[in-house]
Amino acid sequence: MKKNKIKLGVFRWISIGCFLLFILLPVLWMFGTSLKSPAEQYQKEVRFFPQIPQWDNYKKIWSSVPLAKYFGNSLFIALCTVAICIVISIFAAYALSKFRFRGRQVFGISALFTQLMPGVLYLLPIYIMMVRLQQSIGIQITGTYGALILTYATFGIPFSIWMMRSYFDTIPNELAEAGQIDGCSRMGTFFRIVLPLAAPGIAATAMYIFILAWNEVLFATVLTNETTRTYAIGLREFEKQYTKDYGQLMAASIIVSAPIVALFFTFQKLIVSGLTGGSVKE
Amino acid sequence: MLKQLWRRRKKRYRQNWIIIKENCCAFSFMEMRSEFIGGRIVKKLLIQRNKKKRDWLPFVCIFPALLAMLFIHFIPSVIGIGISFLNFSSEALRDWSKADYIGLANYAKFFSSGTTGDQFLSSVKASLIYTIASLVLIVLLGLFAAMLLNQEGRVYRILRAVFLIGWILPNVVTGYIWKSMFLSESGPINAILMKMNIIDQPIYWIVGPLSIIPPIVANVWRSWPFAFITLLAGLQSIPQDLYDAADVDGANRLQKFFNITLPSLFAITRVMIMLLIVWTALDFVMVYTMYGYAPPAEANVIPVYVYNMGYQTWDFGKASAVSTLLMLVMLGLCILYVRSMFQEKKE
Repeated sequence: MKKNKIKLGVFRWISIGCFLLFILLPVLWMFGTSLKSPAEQYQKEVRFFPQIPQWDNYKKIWSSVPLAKYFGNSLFIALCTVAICIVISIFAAYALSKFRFRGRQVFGISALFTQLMPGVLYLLPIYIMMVRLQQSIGIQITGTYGALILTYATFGIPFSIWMMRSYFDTIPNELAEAGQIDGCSRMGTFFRIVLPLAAPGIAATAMYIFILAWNEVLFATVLTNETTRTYAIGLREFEKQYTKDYGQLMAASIIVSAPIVALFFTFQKLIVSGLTGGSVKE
Repeated sequence: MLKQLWRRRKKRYRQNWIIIKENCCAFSFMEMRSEFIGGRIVKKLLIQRNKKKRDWLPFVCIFPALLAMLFIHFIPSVIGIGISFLNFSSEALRDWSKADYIGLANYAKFFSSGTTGDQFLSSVKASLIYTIASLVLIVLLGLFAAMLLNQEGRVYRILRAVFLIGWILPNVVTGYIWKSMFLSESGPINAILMKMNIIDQPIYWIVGPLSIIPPIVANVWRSWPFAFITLLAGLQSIPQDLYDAADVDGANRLQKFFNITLPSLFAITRVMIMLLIVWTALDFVMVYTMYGYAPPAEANVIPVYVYNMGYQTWDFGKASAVSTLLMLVMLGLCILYVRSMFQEKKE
């Protein structure tokens, strides 16, 4: 029996080691390559870490491609997307969770459907629609921040409605009722009671939307131009250059992954500590 | 005696009515649960009161979301289906009157023998391979990792966070990392395989018949943490009593796994697999970052095929036809998904 347990422990840790290797090898490769000079990238012998590590790539990326601008664009678009998406879907989620009205089910299910339909299916029609629209009203739409933000926000809406709805559902109705007896209006109870309690849930949703907007590639390829380009498209330019400098590409990749990795590791704590379910004992 | 009882009841109703009246004024149309309504009469009264006027507040609340979804989801789907019946080229983009109605001709091209038909077939094949291989690997890896890390303790908590790294990194970055790893001369994968004496010549992964493998590996690396997290949550929700009972009955590990763990995970896995199918089948990023506008035929998955047909050859009509076909398939999957979700709720 005891022998069996030891065997199981050894097996467990060997498997965990294999997983770690699988997970961390690409990350290590990314970091190692970002320190390689162009000559060292194409050496006969492949190494994970260069013989002479150098940080030049991290300096060069800012001048060989306007990475700072792309980074700024991505950040601006992602933040605006989060703001718009959360504001719109908070109300919808509240209505779905705390009101009973005609069409509630239909709305909820159609939101679910659109969440499942990925962007590829909408790409062509949205593009055609926007080109058509900008011709008839004479205002540039494709290539502006607005078009991209609106599209991203809408793609985030169904998901955030469902996610926040499940958070609102955990807030007991008794709390809202208590607020009403104390003289709050219906929207008053929402802002003063429901929202503060659901704050961790809203923060988590906001994080997901940010990741969604930060990682999006498909719409960015057709709805951006030189001035509004996001980093996801900008990274291509490192590869297009005839030298194909993977060192610079990997250095830039680390830079653009940093915000999201940082965000994730800070939020993990918040999600764990922020679950205030049970503020009313049932 | 009877009269007395009746009087008492009436009194109670009246008291309840006062409470309810208060509530009615305050939030007449909030979700009311039957437990705080006293008797049947009062309930009836309440319902009648509710019917008198329509409450617009919930509709106002969902209106912005509805409007946004209308413009970005519903109208474009209708336009997309419409365009699939037109000969819609880049000229028509400027002037819609140049798009002629050609009926089902766009669809017919994909099902006839010819270059378009062959390309379509090969891209369907690529998509099927991509989806099935990814799905199997993702679920198996996720399940295995979830069972390994279903333990209490600090080390395991840290490991869980580390296991999620692939999921957090931007897709584009994942694509580029794996592309550079699969390079035949300077990539580490060939180097490792050659060191282990599995191969003696560098393999060309990025071109030729093996070119579907790098996107699959990259996609698995990116997506398996999702399966891992979902299945871990599923594992943790299985009550320990079941295992204790099995211990009493003298079941071994394998029996416990097949008779308790797998059936309990089934509900959660069903939804997860549905989501993974949809995401993987329509994943555009991996192939696009690795191969750009000209992927090899073996890796030309449908989303990239549609994209290039639209934005490289500017044939929006045909591209929309493929999109519409895809949409139908996905709609079928979605209906299955929604149904299984509601079944779960009932259970």
